[in-house]
Amino acid sequence: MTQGRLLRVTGYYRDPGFLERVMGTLRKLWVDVEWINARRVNEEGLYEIYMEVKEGKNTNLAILNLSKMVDVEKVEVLEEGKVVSYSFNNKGEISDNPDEEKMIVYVPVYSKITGYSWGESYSKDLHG
Amino acid sequence: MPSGARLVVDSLKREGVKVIFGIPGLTNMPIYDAFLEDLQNGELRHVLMRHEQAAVHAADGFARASGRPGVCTATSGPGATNLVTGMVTAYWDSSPVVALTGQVVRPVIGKMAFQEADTPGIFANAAKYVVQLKNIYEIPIWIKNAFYIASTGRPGPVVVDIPRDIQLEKIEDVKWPERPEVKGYRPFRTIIDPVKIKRAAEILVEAEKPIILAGTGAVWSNATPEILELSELLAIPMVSTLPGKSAIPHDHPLFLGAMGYYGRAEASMAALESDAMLVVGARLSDRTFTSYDEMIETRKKFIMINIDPTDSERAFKIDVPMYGDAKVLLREIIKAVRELGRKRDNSAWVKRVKELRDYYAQFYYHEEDGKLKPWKILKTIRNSIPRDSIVTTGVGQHQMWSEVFWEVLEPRTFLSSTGMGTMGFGLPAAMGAKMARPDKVVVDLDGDGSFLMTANNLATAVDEHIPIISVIFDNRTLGLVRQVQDLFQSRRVVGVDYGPSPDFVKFAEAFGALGFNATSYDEIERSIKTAIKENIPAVIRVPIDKEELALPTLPPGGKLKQVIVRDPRKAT
Repeated sequence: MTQGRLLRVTGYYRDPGFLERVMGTLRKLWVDVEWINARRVNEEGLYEIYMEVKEGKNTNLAILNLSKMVDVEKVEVLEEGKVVSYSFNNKGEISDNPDEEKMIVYVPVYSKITGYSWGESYSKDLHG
Repeated sequence: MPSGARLVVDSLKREGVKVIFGIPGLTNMPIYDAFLEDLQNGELRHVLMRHEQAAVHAADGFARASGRPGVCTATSGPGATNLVTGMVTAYWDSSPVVALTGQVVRPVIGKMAFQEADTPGIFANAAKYVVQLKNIYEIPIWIKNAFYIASTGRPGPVVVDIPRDIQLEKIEDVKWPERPEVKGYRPFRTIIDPVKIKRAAEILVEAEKPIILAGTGAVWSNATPEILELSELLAIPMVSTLPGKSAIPHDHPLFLGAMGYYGRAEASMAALESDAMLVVGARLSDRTFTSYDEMIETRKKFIMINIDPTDSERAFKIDVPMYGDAKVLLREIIKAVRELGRKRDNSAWVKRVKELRDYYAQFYYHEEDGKLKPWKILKTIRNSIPRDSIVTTGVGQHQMWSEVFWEVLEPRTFLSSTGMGTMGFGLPAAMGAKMARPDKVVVDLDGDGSFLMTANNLATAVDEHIPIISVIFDNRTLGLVRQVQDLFQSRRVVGVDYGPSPDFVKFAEAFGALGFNATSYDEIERSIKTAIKENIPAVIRVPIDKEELALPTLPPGGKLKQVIVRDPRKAT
């Protein structure tokens, strides 16, 4: 199990200000980000951010605030999960060689999703 | 071929805009050039403000008085940065404002060009939304979207930043959007859940000591008739937040006033003693509920109606959270209450509330020889202006006196910067309100410190024939800060007292306004009546003793039950 909260934020990218405002929503509530992966999904600007945020007294509120930020479609909490990390060298190969430069990629593994979107919430059990 | 600037103007007109508050500069100048003919033929009115902060406050006042978004414009760089305080004020008070900012031309954006500011970066956290346009084709849809975002869901301010070269471009075919298109945005839905409606009705019907708390959302949804109907149906006393004052007529026998930090003690005490609270359109800010623990320790049941579903999850467990338009949901609750029928006799609770009101009244209405008392000044003003007059306030002691003593008699007639507490709000907001409702008398209740923060805009009021009346509670000090230093920081009064400058009568006259020095209640009344009759801007200076306190108050960080209603200095 992970100590933080795994989130998937889906929204629409107009410019990098999208990421700036997502981060700002967390910053304002002093919610720390452990790691983040983000990518543009399609040419219509759909964007997907995976991240792990630290658990704290403001984490829930930050998630709710994110779920009603203009440009954000939904925020999903990836539950009953853990994070698997992979280490890649500069050739794109998985590597645990300490002498190589490496990029660490975190992959959330989860079995349940609780989603929040503009005041509505839903739950999905992926085993169901 | 229309230019981008022409598209901006036509887009605004399509949204029903008639008034724009602003100041031109190099980068929004094409918009001004485009609307020259619209000004000449009377289709648009431009109000040339003396500072961009005041342009937003005026647009904000326009929005709050009319219920429709207010519009302002500023040039890039300092023009845009000067908007920040006004925009964040509108944001905190959920007021729909659309600000159009000019931007430097696209090739130099981000290169520290002359009068360039990072408008999207600056407003990212100071407005509900900010968008920088990338090409001329985006103008019609994004101006439509801006009004949509500003006025739906929780209302709030939106910035549309338009580079000058886009304003100057031309296109042949204009596609006017029929509806807004904002991906990743949805106004909150009104959810009528019959189970929750029934549960809310049951709680209210079965409660021994129910109370209704009205907030800003009650004003924006025009829910006053429904709140009064429910209150009268079950004999439920009503209190409000400070901005919620604007929702409830204060001459209603079941209304106790605004509760909270500087609110009426009887309203706060009734809220504490209640066993069921129906919250209508309030977000339970730290000014209303200074301690959540204190509010929940009576184990009361909470029913909350809010347009923003996340508000019910901010602080403590709400027994029945309901989301959506307050007017619609209240109608459903009323229907459910009628079906259940009245089950309890609330007369003991209503009697208790009356006892609270009578008890605290002894602390409020004192006379003092040779001194004008704030409560009586406000009573005098109230009796001198029509019932439907609009008042605005600045921020400071006079605002707190207004919270306690100003009697709102019609909805949307009390406009104040309550969330952000922005000094200087009063005068420009009054100008905006007067532009929205020219048939109403508009009075700015202000303090000497607050008034002077935006008083340069008196020149605009005179030049543009916007006949507002500023009543200045003049104690030559930043009274609210002084009061805290005096009462809670060992009387170490520092950095708050002003000297004799300015003479407010000469100040007003220098601007071409009427100036009055009203040193008695009769003179206040006469000055107001003269100002209304002359129909030009007026400043009425009323001397207030520096030592006068804004009471009730709390110690810093205090709970409502720690309310201070007597001058503690006199007790010692």
